[in-house]
Amino acid sequence: MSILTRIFSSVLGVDESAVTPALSPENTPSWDSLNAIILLTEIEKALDTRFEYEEAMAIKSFGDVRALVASKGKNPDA
Amino acid sequence: MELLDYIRLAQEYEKGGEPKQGEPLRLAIVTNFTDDLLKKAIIGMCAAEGIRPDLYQVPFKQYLFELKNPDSGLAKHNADIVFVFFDINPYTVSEFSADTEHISGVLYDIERYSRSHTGAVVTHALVMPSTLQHGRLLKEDSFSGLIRTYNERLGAIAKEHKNVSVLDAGRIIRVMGERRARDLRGLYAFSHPWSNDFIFALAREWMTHIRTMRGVVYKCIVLDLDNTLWGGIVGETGPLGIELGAEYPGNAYREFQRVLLQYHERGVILAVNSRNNMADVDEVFDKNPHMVLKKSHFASLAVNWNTKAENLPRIAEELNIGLSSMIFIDDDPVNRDLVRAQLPEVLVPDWNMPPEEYAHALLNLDAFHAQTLTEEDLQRGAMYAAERERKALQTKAPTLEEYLKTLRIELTVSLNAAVLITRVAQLTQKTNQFNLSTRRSTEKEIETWIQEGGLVFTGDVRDTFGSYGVTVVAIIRPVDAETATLTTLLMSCRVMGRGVEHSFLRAVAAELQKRGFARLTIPFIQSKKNAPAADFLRELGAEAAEQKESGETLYSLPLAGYLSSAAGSHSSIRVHSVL
Repeated sequence: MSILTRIFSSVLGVDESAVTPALSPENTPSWDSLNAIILLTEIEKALDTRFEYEEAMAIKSFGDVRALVASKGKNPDA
Repeated sequence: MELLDYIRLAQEYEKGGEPKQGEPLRLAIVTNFTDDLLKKAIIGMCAAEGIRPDLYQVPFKQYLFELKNPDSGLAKHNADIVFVFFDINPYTVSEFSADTEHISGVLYDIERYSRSHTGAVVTHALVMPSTLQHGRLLKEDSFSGLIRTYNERLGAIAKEHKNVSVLDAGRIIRVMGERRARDLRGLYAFSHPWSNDFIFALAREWMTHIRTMRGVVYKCIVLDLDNTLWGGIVGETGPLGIELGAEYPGNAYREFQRVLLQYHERGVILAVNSRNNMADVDEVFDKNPHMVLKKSHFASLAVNWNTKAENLPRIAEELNIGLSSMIFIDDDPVNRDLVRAQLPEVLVPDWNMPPEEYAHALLNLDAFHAQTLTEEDLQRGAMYAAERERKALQTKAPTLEEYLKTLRIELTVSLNAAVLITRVAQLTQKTNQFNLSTRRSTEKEIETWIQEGGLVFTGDVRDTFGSYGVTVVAIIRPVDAETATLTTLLMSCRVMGRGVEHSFLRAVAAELQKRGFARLTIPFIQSKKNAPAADFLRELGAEAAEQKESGETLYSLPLAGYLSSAAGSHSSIRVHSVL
């Protein structure tokens, strides 16, 4: 299981198999604004990277997160 | 486990579904920032330890209103433990820094709330930030003055109200550094001024407090010898060849021993678990002048060729303490893994480090937090060491009854002694084996009961070897003119096996009869550990009158019949009553 999958599954309380690029705040009730902060800080800590505020706010799905991580030169499947 | 693991546990716990397991605990958190992560961390950590938390979170920025209002959600939640933690920092304006009246108001509200609240209130000193407007000239800086005033007055409140304590979160920040502890983007973007690392560390700090309150207390440090208490292998180098002394690395081992001695002096029991020849170890104690710890400091010495996991239960049995109150320190990873696998109750800290880290690691274990230290705590380590000598006498005495006679046990029973309330509350929190209800009580609750006509009996035990202090407690609350309930009857394991409990209850029953009571109702709640208390009820001849759905059994004891029976009477114990 990748680090990103583990973080999303743990923080949102969803099964690992549910963590797909389509996972989004719209289809996942536990992805609220408070958990969004925890997701952001845990990803930054685990992958040793930093997202700008606008970048973080533009995230609309797990697929977006993967793309953003890749754009920082980090491996989203790590 | 990492923060993420606890978040997952919290998520599962909050989702619910099947009925929740574990012992219930009502908690509340009062902060002035977004505290959802803190809440999740605490819930996850409780769930991991078999506690079923019911946590009330004061809505964001509502702390003043909730502390003030006697009908607030906080007041109604009636938490067993309330954690109050405020952040003040120079990087953003808050009520704390903008308005000098604000801290007076907050302190006033904390004090008033604590007065009417029976549970524990765990407050935090404000943490001094590393950067200030006017540089380092603290004398003139209003910000640092504010923090000092708040902390001093908080300390005064804690001194006056027994249910209030003050924690220093600055300790955590000093360990990790302010840059790692604070999150400035979090502060400005989400009103979450702390890093996840800090929140994790704070939650762990709170858990140690929760454990202490619930009677989960480590009592004993069991130590390996070679490369743990000293450097090198005594069997190879001899008693004077081991690394111990004024030079590095010998001085690192010596300082480790010094810290252990301080714990011993504060009541922690020390024991040895080592694969060695006893003769070699005795030579070290006898001949090596650098040994800070002497043989007399150890309550048990398991020096043999058994495995470490075989020795630990024997040490526990010898000291009459549970495995779950033991910490095992050994430099050898194989021994640590063996003990972890076979005896998961024992706390086995990682000890992969050079000797200079030993003293720091021991102090940083977070295992011996005590809210208050009583006389008995301070003497405990020495008492257990004396017990080793007492046991030697026991093997010479032919029968238990004769042995008890040689001990010349004396029991002094007092009633509602105000100076002993701290000790009584502590015993209710720590005693697991001989405890009929395992009901944990705070000092404040006990004071309230006495005011309401309750009777708190305490027994002080001594024998030819010295004093054990207050070790037996009975709390009685009257139901009507004829009936009283024994809400608590407990005895420290330190004096178990001497028949003291029978003499004590007889003295209590006689006093109750004198006061016109005819019957004592005894609630018994079975726990994993209180089998000795169940045995006692059988010896007493009390009859089960009612089985409640909660699992509680009510026994009824007619006082006249009990006092005229011979149940558990011990002629060899002299009872002094100062009622």
